[in-house]
Amino acid sequence: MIKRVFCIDDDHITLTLCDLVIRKAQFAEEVLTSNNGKEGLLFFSEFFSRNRKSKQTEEPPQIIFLDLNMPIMNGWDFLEGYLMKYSDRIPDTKVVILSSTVNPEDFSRANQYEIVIDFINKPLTIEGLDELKENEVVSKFFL
Amino acid sequence: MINEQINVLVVEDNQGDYFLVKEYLDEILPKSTIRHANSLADASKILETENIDVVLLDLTLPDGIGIDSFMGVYQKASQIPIIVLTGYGDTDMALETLKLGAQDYIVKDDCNPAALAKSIGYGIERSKILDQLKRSEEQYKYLFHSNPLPMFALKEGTFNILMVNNAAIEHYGYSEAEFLQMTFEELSPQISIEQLSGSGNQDTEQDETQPDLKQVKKDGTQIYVELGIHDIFLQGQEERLIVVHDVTERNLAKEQLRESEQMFRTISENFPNGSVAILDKDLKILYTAGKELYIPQTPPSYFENTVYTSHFSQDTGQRVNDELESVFSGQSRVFEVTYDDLSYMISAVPLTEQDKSINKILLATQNITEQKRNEKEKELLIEELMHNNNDLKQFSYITSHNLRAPLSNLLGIIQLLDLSTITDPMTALLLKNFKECTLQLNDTVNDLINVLIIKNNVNTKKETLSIPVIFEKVINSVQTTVDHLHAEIAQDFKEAETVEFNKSYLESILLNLLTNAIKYSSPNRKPSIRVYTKKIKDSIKLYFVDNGLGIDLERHKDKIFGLYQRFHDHADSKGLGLYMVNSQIRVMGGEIEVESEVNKGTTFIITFKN
Repeated sequence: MIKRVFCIDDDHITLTLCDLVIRKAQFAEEVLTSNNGKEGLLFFSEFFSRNRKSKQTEEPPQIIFLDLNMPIMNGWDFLEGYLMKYSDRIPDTKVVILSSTVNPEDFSRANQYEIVIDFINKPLTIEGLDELKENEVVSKFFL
Repeated sequence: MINEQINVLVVEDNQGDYFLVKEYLDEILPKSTIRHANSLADASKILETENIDVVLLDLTLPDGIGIDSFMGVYQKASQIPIIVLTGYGDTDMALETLKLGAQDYIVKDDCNPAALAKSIGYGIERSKILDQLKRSEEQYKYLFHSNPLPMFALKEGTFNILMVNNAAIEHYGYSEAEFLQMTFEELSPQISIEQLSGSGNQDTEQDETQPDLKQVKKDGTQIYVELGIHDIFLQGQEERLIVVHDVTERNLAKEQLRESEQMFRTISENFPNGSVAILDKDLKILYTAGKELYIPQTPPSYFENTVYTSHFSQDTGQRVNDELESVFSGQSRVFEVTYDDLSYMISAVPLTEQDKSINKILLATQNITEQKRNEKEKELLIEELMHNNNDLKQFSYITSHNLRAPLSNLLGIIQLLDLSTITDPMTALLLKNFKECTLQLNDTVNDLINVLIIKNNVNTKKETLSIPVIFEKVINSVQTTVDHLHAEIAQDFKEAETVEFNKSYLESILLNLLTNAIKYSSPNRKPSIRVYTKKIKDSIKLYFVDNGLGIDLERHKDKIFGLYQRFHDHADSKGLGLYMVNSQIRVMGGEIEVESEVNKGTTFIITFKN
């Protein structure tokens, strides 16, 4: 099972549902949440400063479930910022886009990022997570 | 004394007179041969057999007297000078013979060598001249008859034909005898007698203003001729010689030339929305014409003999100059220029001469200002439309997203909802209905979004698909319904098993057709569905045949693949299925047709283009 996942979504119902489904599917032990891209970046900023100070190694999230359409900072901008500042430090952490989008451009854009390992259309379901467990990056957590 | 060797025939029955004459002759013509005849009969014999230069003729002979005697000899020797010897009392008769052709007469009693010599001398000279005249006349006749141009000799002041040559006989088709029976007027009905006179020996053909004379041949063919008219003397008569030049063909060629020139002018002067021009090597305008010249309201003469490029601004002129130079090297060019606020399209072609050199070029100029403006307007319109379309697309994506976001939450919730934990039956029922509504809403929204995505996504991936594999998967997804209705599904994909298509589209198409066939099956019979492929030329056809309710095609033909068209009162029907099927097939470059009969069944035929 995965230790920590990080869900970034502006809709608190979605976040609640994600939390419930992830637990029910026994996908991850802990679900961290954030309300938009900016907060997401802040989380990592704090995560790294916290870990440098205390020298105690806190587990980073292994999967980031990222919504695309969000106020203040959308998913793409988060992804750019994250890749620039943090992804090198925790290279095993991957991104799964979780969105209601129907715009084909979003799909093709997502394809261009190596860090994005899947694109799930909302809602996140137990079946969807079970499929994700088959993914070669994710599967190693469920041996 | 005459020192020529001449042969003299003396016709004299009186021996005394003969000896006297012979004596004189020996004296004046020492080299002459003298032949003697006593009668007309003798004379005739000698004239027939011998070459006689002069005849001395007595008018009183045993076999002929007076005029008879003269005519007897004259008929045998009209070309030989005849000098009549006569007595005193017969001078009247002698004068008569002069009129008939005698050379001279000598009264025997006055006869002396000098008078005789003079008379013979004149006679021989005159005969020589006559001979020459005759020969020249013969030559003239020869020239007349063998002339390649048709010729006529007319009697002076009339149209009567005296003589025609072979060329005339050949040209007009009349025989010589026919010609001699007719007049020149019959050949040329419009001729007037004045046309044949007045100008004397001058040719009249140079007169440009005089129209050509119309003539009719024997076979009725009309010809146009010019006449050369000469006054001549023929056989002592004044006659009119007419030389005919047939100009029919020349006129025809002239007329054709005139017509083609006229046509060329008509074309060039009426050249629509522009002009044509011919330039020489120095780009000088040799000719220009057209409905619209470069500078409106300016006549062609303003441009002629000016350098073409001088009418443009310096920059444009240089560019045009470069273009035209390549035309002189043998290329055809099409280019655009602007003049004030007008736009022109110029097509320039080289006019290659027979020796392959190019000394002139042809320009065809079209005013394309209007087209340019239309084009620009069209471009703006397209840009605006594309902008609007893009806006709409973005709008639809945002709307779909915003619709889907709460819907996906609802779906998430109902999936987590465990109805078995609800004890209140009322709440359980409401939640069950809530779940059903949510699922329906999700179906509808998904269908609409699919439509939207198919419409906007023309570059959908194609791959080689196995029809039986895909169809099996589709059947499995609706297996419970199939079993429930005891539907029979027969499939035969032997003829064509694979097809180049988009996988999810093919799945969606087959699923739609299958669920339709099941949904609209007849309650009166067991549903039977046949699916098979056929290979026809370059394409594969997939037949989907059911025995269901059918569709009234006469009423619905145009609407069958339309959006939100429903043909049956069925709870699940949203009017989207066939619309999507059609859209997906069309996007992949295929076609779908339908055949149906109410209460018999429906056949869909999909054509996959390979």
